[in-house]
Amino acid sequence: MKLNFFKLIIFVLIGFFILLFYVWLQISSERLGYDLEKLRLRLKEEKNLNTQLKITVDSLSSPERLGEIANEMNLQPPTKSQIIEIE
Amino acid sequence: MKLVDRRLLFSFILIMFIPILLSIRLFYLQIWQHRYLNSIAEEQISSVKTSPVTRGEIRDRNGKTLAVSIEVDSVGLNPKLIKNKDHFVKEISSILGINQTYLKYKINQDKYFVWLQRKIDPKISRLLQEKKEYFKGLVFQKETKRYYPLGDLTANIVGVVNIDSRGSSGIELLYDKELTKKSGKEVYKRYGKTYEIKVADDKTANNYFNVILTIDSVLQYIAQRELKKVVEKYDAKKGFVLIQNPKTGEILTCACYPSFDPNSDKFTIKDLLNPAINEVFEPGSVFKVVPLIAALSENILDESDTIYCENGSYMIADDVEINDHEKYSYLTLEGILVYSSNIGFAKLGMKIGRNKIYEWARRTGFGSLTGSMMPGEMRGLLPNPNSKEWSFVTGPIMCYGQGVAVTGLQIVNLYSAIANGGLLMEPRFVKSLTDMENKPICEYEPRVIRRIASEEIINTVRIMLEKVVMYGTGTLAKVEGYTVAGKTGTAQKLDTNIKKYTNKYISSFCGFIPSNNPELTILVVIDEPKKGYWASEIACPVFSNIAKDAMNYLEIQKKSIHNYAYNK
Repeated sequence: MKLNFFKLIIFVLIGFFILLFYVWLQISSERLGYDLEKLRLRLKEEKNLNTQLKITVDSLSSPERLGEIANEMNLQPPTKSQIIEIE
Repeated sequence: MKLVDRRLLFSFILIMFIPILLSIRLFYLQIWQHRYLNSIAEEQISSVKTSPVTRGEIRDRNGKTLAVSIEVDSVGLNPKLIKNKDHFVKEISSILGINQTYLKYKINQDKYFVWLQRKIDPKISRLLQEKKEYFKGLVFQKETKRYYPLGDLTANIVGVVNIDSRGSSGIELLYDKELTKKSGKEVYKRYGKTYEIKVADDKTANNYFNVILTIDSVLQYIAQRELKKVVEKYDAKKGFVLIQNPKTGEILTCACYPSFDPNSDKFTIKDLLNPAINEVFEPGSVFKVVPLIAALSENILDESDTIYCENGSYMIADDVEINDHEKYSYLTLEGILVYSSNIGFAKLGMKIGRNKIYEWARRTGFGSLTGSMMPGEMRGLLPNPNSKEWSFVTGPIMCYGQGVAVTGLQIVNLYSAIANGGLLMEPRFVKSLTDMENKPICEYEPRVIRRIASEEIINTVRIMLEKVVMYGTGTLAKVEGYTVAGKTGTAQKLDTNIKKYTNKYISSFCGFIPSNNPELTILVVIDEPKKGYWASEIACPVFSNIAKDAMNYLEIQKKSIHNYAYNK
């Protein structure tokens, strides 16, 4: 009888811990879900920032802007005599 | 049973009583009522959102971005959450650049949401986001905005999108389906007030492609810069330049001036038209190569045969007089091209005959679409020789480029055919498509439409065109270090209302360089220059300047012509 009673308590405790483990799993998966969503949003923001920076680079390196700067600095294409061909 | 055991059992039952009751309740809620309660919970925590329409990028042949979509914020406010309204109005109006009276009107509305500004600048958005706690009541919403980093440089060819991010003109319209990722439904689950997790999205929503153009933005800039100079110098209405690779048919440049800024909203539907594709004009003398090819192919005249050019004035009918800009007596077939004699070509037209003129004009690509597929491309106007539109003078005047309307694209395509030995190519604006990860999806191969004439005849025409630049009307188109072949065109404009020619002109030059192994065909068209009109003095120097810088940029002089990158 004594043995059966302790067995019952052990079974109940095991059941309790299984339930606890299941709840922990659920909470962890939810938490991972949040983290994943946060990372997804961050990735999206970073990608968007990357695109914005790419636009800035493209605008700054546009032939029109470079041409204007070259004009301001009096830069000209080299004449034939200024070119040295390296064999 | 012993007393101690009974007590233990009793205590155990007593302790377990509440958990058992709770378990029964849980069983009832979680299993018995599961479906009903779950549906209520789902309704409360789930939300369905529509993802914004996104578009792929448009890039030039070197990977330079010409059009790109980015997510930007639109900002609104909940007027009921704002406490210190005066302070809010003062601060926000200065950041957003909104009129204070307008903002006061918005803030005093009895609503839970009002728009303040759509698609705001990312820098302003970041500034507002940082002060979000300070300005309670501000609401941000994501939308996509199309940016064109090169602005007006490629506006006429790339086109624009409308407010719903769908293509309205140019490549944006032609490749709208491929560029667009349509909006789809996304299911989110909300936990608490702040967190949302995307649990499902619309798998049927398509992916987008990126479009790689044949356009070279540096060549485009060179052309646009020279175009701007000449339009301003001669006070012209507008102008355009087309540069084509004669071997592949790829359009490397399609520059228009004046153009418009696609990043602003200040443009009209008329601005969206591309004069090189969507508009037609009487070509004038650049069209003279058509009867020339016809005469040589039909063995009507030999290049050494002479034509009497009537000393500059010729009455073709009682009320129709044809004039040359100089007085010529006898000129060879080559001479009438080199010195651009209208009388010579009118007489040549009479020898060729109406049906043959029409047939050869069609064969060289006029009166039909080029196959570029560009939206709104014009066929041009080529009268039918068996209709009432064709009179006695139509054939002769058509031979020097009047009585026929063409697009710039048709002209440059014909000269490319002469440059490549006689193959009329399909002009192409798109090089390839790539997927979202930039992996190639399809590459467009050059397509030959037809051979327009034998290689021998085309070679004869090419040599004649070289002489036009060597000592004829196109001497100002010369480029140091290269041989150039081409033809000038100065055409009087027809007033369609009174059906008479006016004193307004279109000056053009179309040629190819280096003429012995052409790499570029360049067409320059200047519409209504007010301070002069001769193509030889207006269009030829533009050709020369563009060709010189283009050759320098493409390093054709430094490298072997045969290894030129575009032919790889």
